Amino acid sequence: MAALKITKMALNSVLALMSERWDVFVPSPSPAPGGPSGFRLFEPRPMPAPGKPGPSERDSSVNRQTCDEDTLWNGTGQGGQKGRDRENHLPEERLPQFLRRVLTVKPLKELFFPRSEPILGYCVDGAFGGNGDGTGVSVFMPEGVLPGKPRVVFGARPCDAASLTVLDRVFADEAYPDDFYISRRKNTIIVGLGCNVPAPTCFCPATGGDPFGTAGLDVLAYDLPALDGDGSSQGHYLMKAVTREGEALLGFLSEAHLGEGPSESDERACMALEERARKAIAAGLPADTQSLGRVLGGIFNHPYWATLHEKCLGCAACTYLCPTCHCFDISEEPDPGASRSGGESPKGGPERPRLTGVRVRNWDSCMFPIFTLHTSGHNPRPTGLERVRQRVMHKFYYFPENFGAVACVGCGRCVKYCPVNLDIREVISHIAALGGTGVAESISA
Amino acid sequence: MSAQSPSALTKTLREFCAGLLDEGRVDVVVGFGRGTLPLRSTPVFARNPDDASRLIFDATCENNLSVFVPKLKDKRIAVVAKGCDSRWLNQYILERQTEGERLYVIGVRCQGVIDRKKLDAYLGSRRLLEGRLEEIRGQGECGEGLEGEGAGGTGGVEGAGGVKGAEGVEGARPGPGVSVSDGHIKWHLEGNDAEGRPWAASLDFEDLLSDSCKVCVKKGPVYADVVIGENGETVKGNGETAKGPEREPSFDDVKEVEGASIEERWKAFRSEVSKCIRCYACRQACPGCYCKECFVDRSAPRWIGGSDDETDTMVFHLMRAMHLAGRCVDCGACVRACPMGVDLGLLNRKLQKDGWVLFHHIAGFEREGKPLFGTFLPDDPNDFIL
Amino acid sequence: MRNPYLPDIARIEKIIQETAANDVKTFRVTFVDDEVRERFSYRPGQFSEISVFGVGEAPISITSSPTQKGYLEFSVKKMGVLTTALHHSAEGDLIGIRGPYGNWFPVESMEGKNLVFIGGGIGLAPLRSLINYVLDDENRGRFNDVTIIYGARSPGDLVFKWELEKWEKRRDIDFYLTVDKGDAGWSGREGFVPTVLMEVSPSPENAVTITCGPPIMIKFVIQNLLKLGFTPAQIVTTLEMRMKCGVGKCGRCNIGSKYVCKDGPVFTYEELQRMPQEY
Ligand SMILES: Cc1cc2nc3c(=O)[nH]c(=O)nc-3n(C[C@H](O)[C@H](O)[C@H](O)COP(=O)(O)OP(=O)(O)OC[C@H]3O[C@@H](n4cnc5c(N)ncnc54)[C@H](O)[C@@H]3O)c2cc1C
Ligand code: SF4
Ligand code: SF4
Ligand code: SF4
Ligand code: SF4
Ligand code: SF4
Ligand code: FES
Repeated sequence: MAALKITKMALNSVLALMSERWDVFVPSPSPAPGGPSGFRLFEPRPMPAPGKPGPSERDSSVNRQTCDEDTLWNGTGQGGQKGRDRENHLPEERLPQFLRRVLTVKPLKELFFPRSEPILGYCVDGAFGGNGDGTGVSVFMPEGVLPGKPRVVFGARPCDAASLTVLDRVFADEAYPDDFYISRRKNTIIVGLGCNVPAPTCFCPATGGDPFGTAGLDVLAYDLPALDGDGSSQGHYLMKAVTREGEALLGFLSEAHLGEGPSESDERACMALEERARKAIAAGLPADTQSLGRVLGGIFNHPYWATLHEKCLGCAACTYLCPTCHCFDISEEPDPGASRSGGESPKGGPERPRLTGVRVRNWDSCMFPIFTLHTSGHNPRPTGLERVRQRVMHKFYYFPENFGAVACVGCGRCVKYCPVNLDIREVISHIAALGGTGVAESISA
Repeated sequence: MSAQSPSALTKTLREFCAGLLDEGRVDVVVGFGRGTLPLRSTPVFARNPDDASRLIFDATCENNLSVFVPKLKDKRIAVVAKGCDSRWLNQYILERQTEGERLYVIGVRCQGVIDRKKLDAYLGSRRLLEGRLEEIRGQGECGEGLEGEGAGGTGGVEGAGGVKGAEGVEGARPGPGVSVSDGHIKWHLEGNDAEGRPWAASLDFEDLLSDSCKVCVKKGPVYADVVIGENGETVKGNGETAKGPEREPSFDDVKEVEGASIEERWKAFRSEVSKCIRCYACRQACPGCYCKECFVDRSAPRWIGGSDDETDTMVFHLMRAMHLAGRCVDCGACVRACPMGVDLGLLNRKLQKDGWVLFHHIAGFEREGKPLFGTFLPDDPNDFIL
Repeated sequence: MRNPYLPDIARIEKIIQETAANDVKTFRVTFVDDEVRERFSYRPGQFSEISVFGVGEAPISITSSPTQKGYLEFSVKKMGVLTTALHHSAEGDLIGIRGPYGNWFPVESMEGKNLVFIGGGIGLAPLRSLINYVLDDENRGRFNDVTIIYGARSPGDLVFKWELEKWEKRRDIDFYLTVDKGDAGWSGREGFVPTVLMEVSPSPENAVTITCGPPIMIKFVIQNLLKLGFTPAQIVTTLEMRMKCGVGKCGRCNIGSKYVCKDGPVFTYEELQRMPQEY
């Protein structure tokens, strides 16, 4: 099945049906599995009795969207703060509304490369070194790390999906394939949602992406607004298969008679949406990032970095929330009470303590000083200057050199969430301008 | 009401700082400039009189700039300081992190600053393309746009711009400026919705105001060398401006929580903490978190694990709050920096309340003496300290 | 399931105290599993990630030579958490080892050449793997003259003394041992390694030099090698960066676009010159 059109009202039924076969993840602000403001497991609900409209259908006035947002916010009477809390309990029926928000706070990478995950467990007798006879230590895969059931993500934005093709280059390399990541990639079907109206922070085209880009996606859905007389109060999703897996998914849905094939006018509507989005986003793009490496190669010692980093606080908001940042730390998490730090290895004695624990991999950030700190106290990147430079160089120079792609998909999360408004779009444009002025050549010479 | 406005403040600020730099009285002015998104500012480090033209001050100036003071190598540092910023500068001197002589405090009278997460919550799926403050008085008058200053940016490279959302509205808007001392201020917002249709809205100033600003005890600076008023007037501070809180601190929010059962409080704390991704933006944004090695980063002995384990995250937040007890000035910079919407304020405010109720102490009003936790009375009824 | 972070279990067979201050110990280990012992093949210059369970991991050079079958050796300086825990372990204890990681000394291109080894302190550890490889009866014929200059701050800081004696006795090596400052029992040479290098003054003709030691020593050694006429491509050294994964994923050990764990730790000075000075 190459394409399938469903009404938005049917989304719940569609997701519920999928849930029988897959674990379905949707963008959500709720503090549920997958974490707040990221992606979470969809929980199928009993469907409303036939004929009874769901709550999101009650209002069919023209500016429904805006009204809806207003009720969400104002309905609590206490302004934004309370509004936020309330939003955390968004019912599933509101999903189509929620999907219109451009991006989750936490990126899609979390479903493949989580904030923290155990990479091995261990069990050691004799507290530390085994029984002294070559027995007593075992390492094993911790249970429940890898997803059992195959998964479907519904509503990822194209930039988030494209970020997976960036992460693939790191985690699915030939030399050291990382099956924690790879197995999740393999068992996840991603249904993307094209961006009718990009956010003011979006700049995917400057990184080779597109508001309707299909990189990393199995299915791309179009959010078709309601038209007079089309029988829907909220509009439709038109889902187009990108990969064979995507086709199979749509086939599964159409067998359940949950949608219909698209009409010619639907195709035209899709084209119109694409064009409008491209036009809108083109207005404020920074310089193209794909040739930035050439400039960056020559400006390692440019004074620009000294002014750039000054306002940076050195937190990890930009890197943790970045869908392409892959740096991690490995930390030892012995089970409580069993930890031993230093001390002599107990030999003999009647009681042999048993040490169990896990080794965990956690997101880490090149913006932290400790990231590169040697045990001797020497730090190759001692100040914010080197660290901000590393972040920019890595994304637009080192990564392209090593993997042939920029490590930025233009999602704009770092722009939006940086506490000091250190805007990577400005950085990109400044660097491109440095190249234009011939600085690069003169420096590297 | 006079026809003066935040722009008047900004204008005076620029002139004044250009003068300071020109005369070589300071080496750097740490202030705010226009950011790249509507209703966003960004820290600016002005080192020559020309840089001073990028300075602004208004309700988008959300960072606590004193955080940069310990990092700067410049000899004489001027800081554009709101009430809470100035209180951290004092606290730095009290804690001997910097010398008073090194600082030149340019106090600005503050009306409170925006909490962008409240804005986000309001916006939902609407995109914000423009935002400004307006004064609504009587019929349809509107104030000068905050975005009227034109695009900001880190500067340095001409013609590099082209960043969407940074343009704002060129030129000043008609009508009198915004004065916050009287009249009714509104946030004016414009953009398009998820279907591309334009929308506009006007929200009350309070609606997007940071929670900490709602309970602020001192909107003016403490110990400023000069104060620039909201109408652009300068008052020589003589280093002694307006000490002491302007009003009794109120802790209604804390009392509400204290009234809850232990189970309820625990649940609420857990749910807050569960959002945390340990990005440490809160720590990095806080002027008080200047420890050379934060306890969370210590490996020998190790205090907490590195994963997103709930207990570890709780320990981080509890320890951080304890380290800031008697020092936190309730500027809210940590809350605003947090991308995940963790409400860090309550823990801090509980400790502030204890400081106030038990010792009549509020941080940041003294440059000399001892920090609250460095104080001990011989007749203290508790002997555990000894 | 391919889990690149899963170590194999190895048993500490022997612990040798190296320095007077007892801050360096050499650990001889064997894999518990015979199959792993067979499978684990490495080249001089590579390193492993060593686990002490409950404590953590650290990257440590394999100091034994692949010609020494059946066991691995690591020499570890007590620095922080993991290395201290390792120092506290006893013979018979079990540790984890994964690897080997990184690139290796360009052994093939060294064939038929004169080799000049210049080491300082515990920096001899990675060199030792190559030295013993070259000195092995099966391999010695493939290489020309071998010169070794090794020094440490004091006699007590010299490592592998039990082996240095053997090297000193060999006729097919020019061996120069030095200490910055001797003590009462020291009758040997005194002087900094870079100075001794100038005294020895090896010819760059058909030579490769391999150096490893404290950064300050390497800096002056390279300066002096250039003075002696060595080209940057003839100078081989190893680098250290903080590491976690060892397999080019955790993103912390890069110098420019080179990952020290994957593209290194062995670099020629020519390569270093093209990399940013960020190490
Ligand atoms: C390629 C290579 C080869 C080397 N070969 C040798 C050798 O042969 N012999 C030798 O003695 N040394 C060698 N070293 C140096 C050795 O790796 C370090 O001395 C060692 O890593 C120190 O580890 P530690 O645990 O003792 O030190 P620590 O400073 O206590 O810890 C460093 C490690 O501990 C953990 N850690 C500590 N603090 C934190 C924190 N705050 N957050 C997260 N993690 C933390 C991390 O795992 C970190 O990598 C080599 C290094 C490299 C890169
Ligand atoms: S750029 Fe912004 S988000 Fe990133 S580390 Fe610096 S302050 Fe934090
Ligand atoms: S660098 Fe910023 S814009 Fe680019 S992918 Fe990462 S978070 Fe998105
Ligand atoms: S960056 Fe592009 S793909 Fe991502 S949300 Fe914005 S418009 Fe969509
Ligand atoms: S803890 Fe938060 S509110 Fe208190 S001083 Fe620090 S940043 Fe300001
Ligand atoms: S800023 Fe927020 S998410 Fe980040 S560590 Fe602080 S509380 Fe946690
Ligand atoms: S140690 Fe992880 S990338 Fe090199």
